[in-house]
Amino acid sequence: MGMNERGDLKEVPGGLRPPAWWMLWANPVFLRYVRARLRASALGVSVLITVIVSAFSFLFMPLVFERVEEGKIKSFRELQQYVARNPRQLTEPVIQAVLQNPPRVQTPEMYQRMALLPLLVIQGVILFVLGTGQVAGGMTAEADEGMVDYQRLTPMRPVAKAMGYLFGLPVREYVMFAVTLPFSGMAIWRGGVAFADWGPVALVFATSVLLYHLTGLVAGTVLKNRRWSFLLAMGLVFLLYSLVPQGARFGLPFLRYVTLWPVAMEHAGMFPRDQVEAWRLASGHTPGAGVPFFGVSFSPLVFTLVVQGSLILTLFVMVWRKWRRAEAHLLSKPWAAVLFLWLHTLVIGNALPLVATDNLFPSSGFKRYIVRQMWRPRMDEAVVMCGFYGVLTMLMVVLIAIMITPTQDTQERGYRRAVKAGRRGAPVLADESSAFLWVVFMVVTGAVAWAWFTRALMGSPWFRSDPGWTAVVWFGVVLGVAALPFHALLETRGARWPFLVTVFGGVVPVLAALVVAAAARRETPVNAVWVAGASPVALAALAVEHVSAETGPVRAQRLHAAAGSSLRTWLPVQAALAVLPLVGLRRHWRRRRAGVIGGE
Amino acid sequence: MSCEPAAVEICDLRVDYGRFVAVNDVSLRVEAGEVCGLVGPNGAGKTSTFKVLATLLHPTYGEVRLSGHDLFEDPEMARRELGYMPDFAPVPSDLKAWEFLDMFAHAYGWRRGRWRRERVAECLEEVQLTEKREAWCRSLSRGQMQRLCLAKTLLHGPRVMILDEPASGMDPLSRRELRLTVQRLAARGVAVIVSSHILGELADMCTSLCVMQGGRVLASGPVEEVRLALGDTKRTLVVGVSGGDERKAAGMLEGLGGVEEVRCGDGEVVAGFSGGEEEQVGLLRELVAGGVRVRSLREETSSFEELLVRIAGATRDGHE
Repeated sequence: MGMNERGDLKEVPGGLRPPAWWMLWANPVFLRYVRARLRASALGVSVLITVIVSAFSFLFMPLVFERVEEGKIKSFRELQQYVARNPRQLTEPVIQAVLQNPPRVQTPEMYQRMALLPLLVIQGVILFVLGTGQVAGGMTAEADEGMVDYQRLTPMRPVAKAMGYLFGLPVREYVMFAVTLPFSGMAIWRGGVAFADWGPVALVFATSVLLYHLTGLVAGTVLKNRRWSFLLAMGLVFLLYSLVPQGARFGLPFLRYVTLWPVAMEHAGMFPRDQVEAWRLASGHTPGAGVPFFGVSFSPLVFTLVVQGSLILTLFVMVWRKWRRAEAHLLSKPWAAVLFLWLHTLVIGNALPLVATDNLFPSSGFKRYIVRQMWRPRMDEAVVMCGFYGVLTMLMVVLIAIMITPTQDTQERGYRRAVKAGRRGAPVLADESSAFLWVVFMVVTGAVAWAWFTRALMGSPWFRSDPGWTAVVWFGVVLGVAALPFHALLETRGARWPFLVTVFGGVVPVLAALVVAAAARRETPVNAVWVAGASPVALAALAVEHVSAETGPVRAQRLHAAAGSSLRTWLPVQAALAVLPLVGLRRHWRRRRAGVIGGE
Repeated sequence: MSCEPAAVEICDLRVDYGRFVAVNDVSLRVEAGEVCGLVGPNGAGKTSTFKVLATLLHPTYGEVRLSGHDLFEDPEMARRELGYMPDFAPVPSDLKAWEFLDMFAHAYGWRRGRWRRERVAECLEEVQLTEKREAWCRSLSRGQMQRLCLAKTLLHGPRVMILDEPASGMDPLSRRELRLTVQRLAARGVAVIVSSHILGELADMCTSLCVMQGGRVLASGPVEEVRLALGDTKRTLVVGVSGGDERKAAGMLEGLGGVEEVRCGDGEVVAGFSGGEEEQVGLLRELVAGGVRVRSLREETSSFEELLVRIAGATRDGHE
């Protein structure tokens, strides 16, 4: 190391500037992963496997499809010949029905399009599953090795660092994806798929990848254990693709637009005609119908881009904030509040126009299989939809409260900083200040949004029932009784207490209610409804009891009465219990003030 | 403490972890070309101070400037001036030594090409790792990883270097080289703040000291000033005598002012002495006049270790 023996280090020229955030090709973090993850030894195996699987799908699927279609036509002809030989068989209704719907003769292009579906699945597995897992696990590993702190020390902008990790960590998956593209391109060309069909799908595929990778990046940034972050990212992708879109069946159709499928259904020229028709029938998608949003109708492409774009922006802000300052909250308080309002706007704006057109109700899917005039929504499914929205609102308030509530340390530090600067407390918008007022704001706006949704649903021509604005008060109280003490515990006691209270006060009663319901066998599970009321989560659903009329079959009326009884019993109990953490919060603020000013 | 521009200026820095005050209203100033040793027992607040300086930790309050750049308002500019080497040097397992340096050279703004390659080669040579250029980072020994991180810290020619236990894991030869490197960086005007548990090393390397204890600065400044500020005025005089005069000399010394704890043997008389230079001359004159054949006279001061052990002990006693 001696410079005397080896000569001095040269002077560093002035004006060294790190690459700008948009120069991804020159981003050091991105290039670090290009080096590390694209070494021939590891990449070769991945590429080889991808080529084999893609080539197999590309060659095999059109042939299989062709054989299947040929088989259908052959069977139909055989049936025709059989009926020609035995004309009496024509009286059989099944045979009549089959003969009236002859299989369509597929063109060679249609067979080629069949390869696009498995290729899309392969691409999804590579980028959505492997890519997201790599981003989450890789980010945690980077923090675990201490490299994140080293990256913080470099004078690159936080945006540049976030971009480097976002596109660098899954770089091998991008190469594997690129390897599948020639096969997709060939299938598109040979299948005669127009750009108007594959372009929008490709665009939404790209935004979906970005959305899931950012989800992984946030998970990897927050969690300390790489295995957990990998599993969490996988779980989130699974949720986004399987469970979350199911919310569309319970009155929240906007949740469908976090996935690729609405756009794929709309621009379905990529896939064989018969398959597309089957999917559309199953999902209830009507091509060209547009996505209603209050009084406006958007194309599924535009609406998907808006929904995913807003989530991408929010997730990127989270990552950016963490790179700017390690101890910062994921979201600032104003951003969190705006996000909360925006999500409710999406839910209501998209759901309410669908009430009148009947596409909102879970059972409306059946009308596609039965004669339309026989169907009408039931009151109990509308009540379930309102309850589902209520529970979702509660979860959103709790999740956002977790994001914006400062720990005791952070609050105390902020308070000391403020006192040192001669202020009375930390600025309202700062991470260090209490999130109490913001939680109150979300409780109030959440209750208003829920009431808006509920009144529109119940007051629709299907039910013509007016729950009145007292619904806001009922649901507001339920939401407040759950969310405010949760936040108070979080702010005064840290994460462990709210977690334990959620498990024992929120989840256990619901599980107990399920056991009681199962034990009731054929009886109406009145006791189960009563037991469930001990959980604030269930109370959010039971609050709907006050907005539905006591009509319908006896069983429904008994459940209705049980819900009312449960609500009236448990809500006062929970309200009384909620006072304790709130008093604790007030004491905590006083103690902090006294401690800091007293010079502890 | 004034806050005029200097290489490092810390004013009223405080760091809290819950109820624990890790750094309590610390102020410090390090000029360009100064090598400042930050010393103190475990939990003194050294690492927290370093983390704040390295922009890795946001303090409760306080003002920190690196080469005039406010650390919290303009962190990117401050980072250009800063080289930080943590106590446990992180290296990525999936990169080679030269790739690791190349990535950071790039991140600090060295454009692709000959200049960047040469800079990486220079820094590898500086830490004697040229032969390990193509080695995987994960295959390096702990000491080699430390050296690689030192090379990374040198890449962008920082004006301020913060070295937290830089010599941990290094062999004696590498430690000597590290000391020379630090001294030469200082000669070139780089301000270096270094902490080490091997205090002898600091004594050889540092031009100033900042002694921390319980989150506070007990003393800071040039080494001798710090010693005096910590009340380390007591010295040990070792008088070499000939011809069995030890007892005679010891007897004479015991009667003199400022002298205590006199011991003798093996041709030497050792005594605690709290006087100044004049008193020392007077003492020598007395001995010679009294017929003691003085062969030599030397003064010994307590080592850093002794000093810190004493501080730590005093604090512990105070707590008890």
